[in-house]
Amino acid sequence: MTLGRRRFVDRLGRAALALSAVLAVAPLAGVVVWVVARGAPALAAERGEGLALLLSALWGTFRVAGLAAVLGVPIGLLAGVLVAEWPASPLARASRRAAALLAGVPTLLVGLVTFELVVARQGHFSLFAGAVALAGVLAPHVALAAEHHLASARPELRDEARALGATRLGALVWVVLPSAAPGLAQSALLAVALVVGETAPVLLTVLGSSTIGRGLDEPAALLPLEIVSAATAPSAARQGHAFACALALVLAVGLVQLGARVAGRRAKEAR
Amino acid sequence: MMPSSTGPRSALPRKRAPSVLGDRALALASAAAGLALVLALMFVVATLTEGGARAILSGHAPRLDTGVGAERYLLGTVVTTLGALALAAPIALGTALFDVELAPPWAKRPLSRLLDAAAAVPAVVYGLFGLDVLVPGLRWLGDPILGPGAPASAGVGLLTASFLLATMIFPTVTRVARAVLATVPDTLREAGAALGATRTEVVALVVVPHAWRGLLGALLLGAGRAAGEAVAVGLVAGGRPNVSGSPLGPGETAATVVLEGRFGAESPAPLFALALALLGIALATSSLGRILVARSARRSGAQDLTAAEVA
Repeated sequence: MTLGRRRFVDRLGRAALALSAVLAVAPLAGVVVWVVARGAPALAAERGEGLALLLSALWGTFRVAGLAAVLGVPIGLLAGVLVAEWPASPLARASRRAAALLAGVPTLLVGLVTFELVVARQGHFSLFAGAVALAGVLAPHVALAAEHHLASARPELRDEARALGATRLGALVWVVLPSAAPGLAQSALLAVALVVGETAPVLLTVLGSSTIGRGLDEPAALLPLEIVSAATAPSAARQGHAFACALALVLAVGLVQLGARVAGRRAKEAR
Repeated sequence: MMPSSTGPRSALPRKRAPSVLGDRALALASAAAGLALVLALMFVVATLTEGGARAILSGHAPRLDTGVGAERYLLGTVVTTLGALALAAPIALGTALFDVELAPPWAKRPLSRLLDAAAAVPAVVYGLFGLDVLVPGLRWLGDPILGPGAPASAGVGLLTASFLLATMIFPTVTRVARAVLATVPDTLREAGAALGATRTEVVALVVVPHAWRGLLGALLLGAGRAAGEAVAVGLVAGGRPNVSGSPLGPGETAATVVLEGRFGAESPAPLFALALALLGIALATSSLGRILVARSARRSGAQDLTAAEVA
């Protein structure tokens, strides 16, 4: 190939890559702008019953995500400890495999199985069942990330502490955790952000409700469920409600992610 | 006879020291957590297998109560997943290559913020976006071409679902692909450039051949997500079985049927057979993707991408 031809091909290649980036930005920015443009006026226009429903759904989402975090994050963290501290044990290997596979299970199926496990046995839908499903979604992600953070947090320090006579727990708490904690917090928050907007699992377990349920053991209103039920409604007011809920949901997810980003910045400093 | 506590071993504490108790507790708690994950996986597989086996033994496995063969729904899953991949793959990989190989420094930060923001948007919101923007848009585009009576004329259908899924898996694929490309050693690029290769030649002849496994893995991880997506697809795909088999027409996927069928009059057993098939598809694609990404990273001497970037 002549030099001129190679130059031309080079330009063409660069242009193609740049074009694909432009083609990528358009729909992604479109979605983000659309959420705000559609949601902000709808959110401002929410009154009376719609607003009450939105707030109770926001509260429900907050409760179900919080309960899922309480159930799922400790399991994920401890499973990460198992793999990081006893990497050669058969249980650790099995747990690692299981976490990697579970992270690839469609969340819909986690919801279906939770339906069989909790809802079908109890005989009714509940916020608690939804939290179990979401905990099942987030725990494997936390486990994989925890293993990564615990194993990469200056392993030589832990060995030195152990050599000086520290117990396993002591080395973990006083040597490993101080440098790994911000990363762990970031991963836990990212996993929670992942499940805040999950819809299929809670549709199969919480079902949704138009009344403000107080208890954990009854159906509750959740933002994703409000969006699904309002999106297909024929009236314009209900559709506006869907847009308002969508913006509220995106803001909720964004807030959790912001927390994760703050923790992540700490993680970089700690290293 | 002296009591044994004053024997030669009396220097050792009779009770276990609290520190050892702490280690015991740690070992027990983390073993319990690991066991919980293993049991959760086994429970998922067992529940779906048991339901699926019941369906097959009772003889109506391939048919749902609507009388439509389950293979129609699986076909819907395959069509939408492949469609989404075909639409997303060139642009997502191109964007990742652009970001790592060509992008000026000022463009990197906004691009990665945008990917973060788009990845943070929940699936149900994408579904609403599809219903509000994609469906009217495709109707507007499709009607003059196909005529008002065409299967896609309502704007809903498997094609619309493919577009929507492509948008949804885009951030995932791009972020993983970008992480894979970042592990390609700079020395390789420099060696290529020192031999007189242009930028495009370095990308096409050095970077991509080195990283293609990881890039394929990124696409497979995206495919796994697309196959399992139920809510967003359900909102735009039209909600009836795709009897015509046309990729443009309204249809349902295995995931949407499992989600909706749980509430309908369907007997649950065939749904479990379908769910089991879906589990197989999703696990096969995402595990293979994970392995490819991890192997590609290890080959480049990088530690572990899957935990940090994929999760």
